[in-house]
Amino acid sequence: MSNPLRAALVGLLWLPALSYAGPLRDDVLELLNGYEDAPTATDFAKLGDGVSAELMEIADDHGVASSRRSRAISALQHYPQPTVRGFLESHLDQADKGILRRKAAMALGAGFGAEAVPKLTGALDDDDTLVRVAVVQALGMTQAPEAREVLEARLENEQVESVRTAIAKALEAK
Amino acid sequence: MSLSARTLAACSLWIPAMLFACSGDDEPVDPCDGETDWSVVVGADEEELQREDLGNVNLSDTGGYVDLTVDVPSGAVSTAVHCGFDEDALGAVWALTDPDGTVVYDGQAAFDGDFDAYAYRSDFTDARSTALIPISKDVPLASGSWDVQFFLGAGNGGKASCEAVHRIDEAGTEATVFVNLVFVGPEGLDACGASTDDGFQSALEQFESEWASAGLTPVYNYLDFQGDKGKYGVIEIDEGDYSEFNDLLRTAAPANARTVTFFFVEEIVDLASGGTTVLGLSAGPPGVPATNGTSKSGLVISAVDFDSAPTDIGKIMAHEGGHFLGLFHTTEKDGSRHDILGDTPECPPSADANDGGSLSVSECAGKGGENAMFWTLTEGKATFSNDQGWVLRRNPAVD
Repeated sequence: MSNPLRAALVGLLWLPALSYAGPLRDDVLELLNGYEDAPTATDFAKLGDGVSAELMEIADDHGVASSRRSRAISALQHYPQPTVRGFLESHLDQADKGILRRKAAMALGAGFGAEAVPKLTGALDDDDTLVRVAVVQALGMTQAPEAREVLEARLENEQVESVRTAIAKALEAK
Repeated sequence: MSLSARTLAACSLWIPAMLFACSGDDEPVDPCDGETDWSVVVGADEEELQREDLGNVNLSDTGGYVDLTVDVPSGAVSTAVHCGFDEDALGAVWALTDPDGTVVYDGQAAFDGDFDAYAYRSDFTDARSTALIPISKDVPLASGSWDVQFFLGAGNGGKASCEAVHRIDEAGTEATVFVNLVFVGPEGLDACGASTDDGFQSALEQFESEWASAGLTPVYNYLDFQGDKGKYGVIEIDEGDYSEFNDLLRTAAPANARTVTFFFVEEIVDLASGGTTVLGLSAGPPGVPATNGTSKSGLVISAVDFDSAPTDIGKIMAHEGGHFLGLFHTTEKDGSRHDILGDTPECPPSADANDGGSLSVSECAGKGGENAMFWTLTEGKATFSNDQGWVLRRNPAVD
């Protein structure tokens, strides 16, 4: 399946969530525009309800710069809800850009803890080296004991140096 | 400006361009026709710089402080004193006293929260710090003996190396900056390709239009990164650990150091915030100008938007380049702090119309939201103020 078609299908799947999008869009987008500053959970919380829907819409808006789409996905870590988890899992599988898949992995790890370990474990076999590095980092972010076992096992089989380095760092930090 | 042997060689190969390129100024070589490593870099006249080795200081003997006396020669338009070491520590300029004996900066005031006490600023960054003068018209560079004190982190046994760079020159209303564009990532973007790519060139057009408002004209050296792309393609920062970023900057080794080096990477990732993308990151501010191989010898741009929003890349370049050359944010995120310049609009916390705790471009319209050094990306073409241009054009890396 081509990437655009895949992205369109993903968008359709999340149509119900998008129905909430709209009034906060500009405020949310402005928070994503900092040169060096990453927006925090507090920043988004101050905007009130409906932010997660805006973030999902921005993440799927091809008219928005990729860096802001990726930041929108990262920000979803602050909304550990089933809808958001499903959105992130689907984007880890099949977002239209590698960076969006990487952000989905890390948002799952940072926002969903042990719940995210099975999905992340499955992504350790991804063909994209940078996605594998992000998944390793995401497993580290879960701080779940089972993630450590997964990483130790992967270290025995992983062949790519940058992924092995990421695993070593994640294990060291845990 | 001097005409280097390398340029002569390049000119002999570039017959069609000779009428323009070889009329007395150094001109970069075509990146699709030869080497694209540090050796081909052309820059401003290095003979206009005076370098002064200020020696080494054992920090364990001084409690982390470094006290230096720096003699600024007559005719200098700017001086950069940098001091530091390669370990993990936080450093800043702690005090500055001009040749008249006036204390023009005391870091304790800023440490205590009084950010307006002095028309000078130095933030804690890493283990190497730069005292750049001038960074505002209110603290001009006078010739004579300056006392410069750094604090580079107590309780460590590092040995700090220190150097001064003086620019003996004139500074007018227009200036040239030789810019090294070094392609580490993303995959598929290299020096030759970027030099003809429509998207990348539109990024440069945006960059040039914003820097033009400060009287700066960039001239480019296109370079391919010669180091480990696997290691530096994605730069990771984490909870104050900027070692990967600093290590990449240490690789800067242009043949002519009087240049500013922009590294393009696939992405800068802030792991502490759950992997959020950072759009750009400069050494400093300010960076160590016209000096190779330090943790502050350049800046890094996330090339994420290379295909989706190239003009944003140009804006990021203009902003981070401004930091490197000595500018701070005109207004910080929450409006609690502003830069030290007299003519840059300040957006106060009271402008936060949605009580979101951070000031947006729309909330700060007419109050600096249009400035290239506002804390977020601006709409359309951002500009620099007269004072910002004045600072930028005096930097030792600028000609």
